[in-house]
Amino acid sequence: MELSSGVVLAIIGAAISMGVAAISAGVGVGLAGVAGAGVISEDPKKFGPVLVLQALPQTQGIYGFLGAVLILIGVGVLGGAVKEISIGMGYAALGGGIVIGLSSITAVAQGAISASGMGAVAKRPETFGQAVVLAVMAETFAIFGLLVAILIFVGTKIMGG
Amino acid sequence: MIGDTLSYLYVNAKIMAKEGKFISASRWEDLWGCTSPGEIAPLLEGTDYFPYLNEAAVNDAKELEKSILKEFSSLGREISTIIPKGSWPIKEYLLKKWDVINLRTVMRGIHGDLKKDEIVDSFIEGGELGVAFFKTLIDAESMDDFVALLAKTPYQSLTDGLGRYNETKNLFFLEASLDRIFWADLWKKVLNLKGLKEFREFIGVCVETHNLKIILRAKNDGLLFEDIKLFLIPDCTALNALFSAFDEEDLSGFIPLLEDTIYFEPLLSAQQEYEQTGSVLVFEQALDNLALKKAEDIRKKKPFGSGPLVGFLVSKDTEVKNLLTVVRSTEVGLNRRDIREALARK
Repeated sequence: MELSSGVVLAIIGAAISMGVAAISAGVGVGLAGVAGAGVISEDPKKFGPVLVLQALPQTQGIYGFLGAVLILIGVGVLGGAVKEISIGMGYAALGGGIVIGLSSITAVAQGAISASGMGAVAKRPETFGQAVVLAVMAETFAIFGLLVAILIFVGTKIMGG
Repeated sequence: MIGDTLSYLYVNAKIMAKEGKFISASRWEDLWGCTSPGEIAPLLEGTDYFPYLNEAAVNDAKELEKSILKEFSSLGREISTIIPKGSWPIKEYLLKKWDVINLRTVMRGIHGDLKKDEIVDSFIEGGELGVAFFKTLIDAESMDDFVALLAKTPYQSLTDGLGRYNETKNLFFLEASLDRIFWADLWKKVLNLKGLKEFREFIGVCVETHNLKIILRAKNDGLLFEDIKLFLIPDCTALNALFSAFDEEDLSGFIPLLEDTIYFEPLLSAQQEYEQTGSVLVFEQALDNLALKKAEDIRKKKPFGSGPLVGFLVSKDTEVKNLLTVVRSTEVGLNRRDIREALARK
């Protein structure tokens, strides 16, 4: 099957969206997991709050996946019929993928915040709510990244075109 | 910096979880009111000490004291196994501390002519040398024999204090010598290390505190610089002025010499109490409190890496000291107010 340059660029965008987000979320979850293991080794009853805090950096991975799926549906790679799209639209899809991928790097910082939050919760369980709020702050920028990507996809008719 | 943060993630989370099991302020209030070990033991439920308490510890202050120290030493061993490899001076600090405690036990045993069983019973497992080694030391007939048995160990330079001990029979000279060996060795090692800035800062305070305690005690006891110079650790810039002015100034004349250092305020505050009681212990307590405050400052300044560990170790040390004070007070029947007065940090 012959693919147009536009479609190839869009596929690269999807790959960046998912690939970078997976690495970032993995590192973030890893950091939080190391700290979580430290807390649980002392107090297994803290598994619940630890799990919530460890799960937070995973969301950037979900955004990366979502971005990749939107691109792939948009260019018809998912759904059976690959569309003929221009190189310009391909670049737009690539840009959307890059913005999602780069903004997902916030998962690393979120993992570090979650790790510290776990320590705080282990020391003072009543700080769980605050620890979650602090970790979620880092998430904001990943959400902005995803929104900008969606705006690009809608504006360039990759989505809904 | 990132490497430091990552390598300490597990350690820091674990120690923060341990801090969650520290004795709470309300529990301390109850502990101050205890009059027997049997009352203390149930109040330790939920803390790290509780699993170490056996039936004997509930009925006997000495056993309770030993259980608390066992928990403390096992904590040191545990942390020494999880800290990053590059932090080996912290490991040495955690382990050698127990060698020093056991050596002090032997020295006091020989000095006080205690029974061998009594000395052996006081040993705490946890150091680098092992209890089996310390058991070989209790066969020493005299302090000279004891020091001779330490040849080829890091403590062979205890000979520095032996001469003055033999002349005066004052254990201060040997204990000061032992402390100097411990702190000077650690100081030398951390000075030559690139990382562990926070730990080095903390050891620096401990070294200066050691020197100040020796100086203040010696001055209080009317000793000359010549008597104590072997027990002081050099390269402490803040105290150089004190070294040179030792024989000229009396104890109260010393404190103004420290005006530009962190030691000035706490020692000045303690001076009034010293003048009332004549006990140099008030200065020592002020210096211990300062070390604790310094460790807390280090922790706040550097919430990642080895900073939190330094804060934790000093807080734990203070908690253990305070708990031992409460346990010992039940033996001598101190009242609530006296116990609070005696605590390392109220």
